[in-house]
Amino acid sequence: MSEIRIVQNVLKHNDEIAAMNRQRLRDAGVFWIDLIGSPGCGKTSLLETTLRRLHGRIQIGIIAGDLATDRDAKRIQACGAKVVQINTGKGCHLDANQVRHALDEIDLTGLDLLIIENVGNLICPVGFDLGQDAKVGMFSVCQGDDKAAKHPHLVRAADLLILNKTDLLQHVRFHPVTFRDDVEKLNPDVAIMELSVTESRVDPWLDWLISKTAKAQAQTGNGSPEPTPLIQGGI
Amino acid sequence: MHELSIARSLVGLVRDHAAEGMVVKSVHVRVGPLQAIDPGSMQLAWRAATDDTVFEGTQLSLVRVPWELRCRECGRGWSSENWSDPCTCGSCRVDPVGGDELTLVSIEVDETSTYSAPADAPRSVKPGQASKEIHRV
Repeated sequence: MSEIRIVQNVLKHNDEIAAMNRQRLRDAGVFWIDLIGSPGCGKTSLLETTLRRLHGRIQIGIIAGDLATDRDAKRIQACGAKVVQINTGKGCHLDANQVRHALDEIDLTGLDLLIIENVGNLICPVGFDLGQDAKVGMFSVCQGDDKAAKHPHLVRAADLLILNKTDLLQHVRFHPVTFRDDVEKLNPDVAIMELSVTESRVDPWLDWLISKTAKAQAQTGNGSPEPTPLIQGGI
Repeated sequence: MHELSIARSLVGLVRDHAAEGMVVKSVHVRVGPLQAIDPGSMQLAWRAATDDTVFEGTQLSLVRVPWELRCRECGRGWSSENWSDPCTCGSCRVDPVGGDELTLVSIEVDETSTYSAPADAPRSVKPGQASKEIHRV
């Protein structure tokens, strides 16, 4: 019996494709995010609101991952965005290769921002690099204030966290301090944006997108380096 | 059930490293807590991914790596199964460090028995390529 020492990342092939995706979008000057959250936390609604509010201001493309149906894609398409639907069947997450093929169907020319709406799942998508510039984790107050503690993987991996449905705070048992404390312990550097998509209170999110998009374009020499924020003091 | 994707990736990596004709007896993987891998699901996924391949029957050995924690107050570092452990100094200001490891560490091969690879079996390394890394155990 012999032992062959290897010491290699198991997801090496995924990460290699993710690196190709990353370079492709960087060359095109497109800022892109991987939006991860459980079913029903408001991901598609956030995209609809984002598309409506930023219409005519930045060009946005969407890749929507779902187990089945093209309902999300139809909702997003109705807002005038370029959208590619990936149906994963029984797959609980998107991987870099699926996204690579989806990118082939999107004309990146003239695009400023690409948002990947991952399959509704707080666990499985986290470990798979797609090549994105930022990973955004999304929670809602209806899920309970313990969800950050129960999903340390997403909180640790996230570049930004969204807490949605804050308009329902008075109706549900959710202590923002508990949620914030857990996040702070797990990832002290990550910002939490408290939004209400239903009430269209999403300005910090829009400002963040505008700012990040402008920076990505400035790096490739396109676009305006000084965007006008929607609100003062955005994150 | 991301374990199935991971198992399929693992099969690809093992195939890259096992030279033609080698019988792989076991595969050793280290897993950090941030990978959120359930050991039972991972074993099931491994069986599903290796069924009807040359790795059918190959054992998967998972070593779960605990959280590495560091106290922000006193600087002490320690390992724990629980990321929210307080420090012995009394502080609750504790940072998890790393934890996202998912590493194929080694494979164990039996060179005394061989299999006959089908003519169309995919191979990404030439026979004998991995032999330089072999250590007798």
